[in-house]
Amino acid sequence: MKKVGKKIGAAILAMVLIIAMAVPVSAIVEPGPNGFAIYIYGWAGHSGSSAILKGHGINNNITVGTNNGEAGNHVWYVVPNGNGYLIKDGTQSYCVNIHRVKQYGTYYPCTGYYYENSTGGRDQRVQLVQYNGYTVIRVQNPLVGGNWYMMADYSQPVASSDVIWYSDSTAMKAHWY
Amino acid sequence: MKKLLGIFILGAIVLLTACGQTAPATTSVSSVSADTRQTGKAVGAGFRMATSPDFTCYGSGNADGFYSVVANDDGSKNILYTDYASANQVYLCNQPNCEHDSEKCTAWVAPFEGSVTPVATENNLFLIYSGTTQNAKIEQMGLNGENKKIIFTFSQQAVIENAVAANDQFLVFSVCSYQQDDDGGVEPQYNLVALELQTQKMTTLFSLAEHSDKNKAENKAMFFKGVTNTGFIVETMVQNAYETDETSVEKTFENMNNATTHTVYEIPFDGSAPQPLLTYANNQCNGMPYGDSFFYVKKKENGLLTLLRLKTDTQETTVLADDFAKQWLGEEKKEMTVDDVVFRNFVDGYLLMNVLTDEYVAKNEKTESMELVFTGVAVDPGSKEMKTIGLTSHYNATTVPADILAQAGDKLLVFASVLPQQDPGFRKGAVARKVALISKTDYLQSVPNFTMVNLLREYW
Repeated sequence: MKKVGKKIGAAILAMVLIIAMAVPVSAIVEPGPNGFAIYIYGWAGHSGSSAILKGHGINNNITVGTNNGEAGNHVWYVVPNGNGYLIKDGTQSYCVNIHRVKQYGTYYPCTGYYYENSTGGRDQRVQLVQYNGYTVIRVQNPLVGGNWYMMADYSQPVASSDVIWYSDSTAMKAHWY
Repeated sequence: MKKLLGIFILGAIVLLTACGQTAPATTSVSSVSADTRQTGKAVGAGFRMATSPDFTCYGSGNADGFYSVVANDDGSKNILYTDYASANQVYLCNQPNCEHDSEKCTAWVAPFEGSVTPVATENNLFLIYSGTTQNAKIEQMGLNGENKKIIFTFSQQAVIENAVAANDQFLVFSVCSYQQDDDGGVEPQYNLVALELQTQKMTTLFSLAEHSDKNKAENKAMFFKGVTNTGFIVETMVQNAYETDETSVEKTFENMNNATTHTVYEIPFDGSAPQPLLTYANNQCNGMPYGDSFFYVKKKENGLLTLLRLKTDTQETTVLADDFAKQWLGEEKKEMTVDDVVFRNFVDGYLLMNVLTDEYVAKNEKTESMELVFTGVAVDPGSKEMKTIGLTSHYNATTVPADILAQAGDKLLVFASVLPQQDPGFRKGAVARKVALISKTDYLQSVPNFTMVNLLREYW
């Protein structure tokens, strides 16, 4: 199991602060209690207060909101499944669904849906990979090539602050140690 | 080191089995205590999977009917029962004019922040409460919902997989709990455990910690996949450290896959030592246990998928289809991955799988749908005959074979119809699933001779 040393922890903190100051409101994936169950938190940049990914409830889009003490209802985490992983709600048996339908571009919303047993969760599988010192999430077997952006709220898909994470060979905005 | 590890695991088991939650007024709490035996527990025979290992559990069936737990807007839940004989779904409640909204009703389940999975046997109904914010627990009741009592409460949050095997004496399932380590971190503890119903004692049958090198493993996980005629099948996944290539993400992915080892074990019912059946790197194999075998697909060096049968008693492997796609569909499909084959069931001697056979872009004025076609295939492991299952639904740009919820005698309970949700309160993409009974013969011959169930609530 990956353990975070004090020096690395300090480096993470510094990194988080740097990114937080650069992006007023954003979201990252932070380490949870272990390498697999990873809570996905956002944070409010300048204030330093934490924000979380919200959207509790089936069929709801995930959004980024201020942590109002209801974190227990809005926790998403990564769990292993077969050869890959799923991003699952912390309290219900449904997972993040990644739409295949093109919405005038390459942005795709993250939505809470029940895991589709019949297809092995084809639209819900991701991979975790250690890359360039970070753990990165990428969509497993994407049907559309290129970079994959997963949006907190696709009603404003062009706002970089809405990006939860993406896998990209040149920049890793969503990561954790 | 192993001794220390053993003490550590023992401590975890003690913590797991200590009672730590006040029971509702309508229940009685049985005392629970730790069973110090880690492995080697004989649990008898006659196990069946009372619930599937699917992530989403729609319910659990016995010979007479199917039990589901559905959520209400206020956070509470209700138990619904589908009677096979009448093809009717009812609340699990015998009281006339009941609103099914309080603890006075046998069909009512108090709000719980987590999943509540029903497990039906021929004698009892159990509810498995699993969660990350409230303590996990197990409730037992009669098949009519009466005489509820909590028979086990975990001392901490624990994630219990949906897959539950049962016989007359035990419930067997996988539990992941979290343990503080010496360095201040928290590690997941994966255990396959058996709850003895008479004594309400829990015993660990298989511990992932005992089957992975703690010093090497960066990440690890375990899945309870099902049962064979002779034992429980678990699959472990252990990821060791690997090199990253800063110039190539793909190379990094390749290294990651090679550093990730999956091992399939059988834990015999008779209490003898777990047997490793199969070991493979990430994305090389995928399979499930049914009957006397573990069935799996394997990616060969030439890129083609082969379908294999591994008999667990003799560990003899038989090739069912050397080039699976060509033997079934008449064409090679090198792009097919092991995860494109979804093992679903075993019916009347046929292995049932859903396979991604096509994907294409369907354009209209505003959107481009990335259409997927999953095709059902039934394979007779004896004759190696393959036939396509033609009963399908189309929703969310996906063609999907009719999924089987339960088997009872010569009948199947299936999702006969999955349609877009018409209620405007639902978001686009939400579906309404209707269930039906169909004979196994009709299903395997793709004859849509459904007896629709009168549902109180459609499934999502």
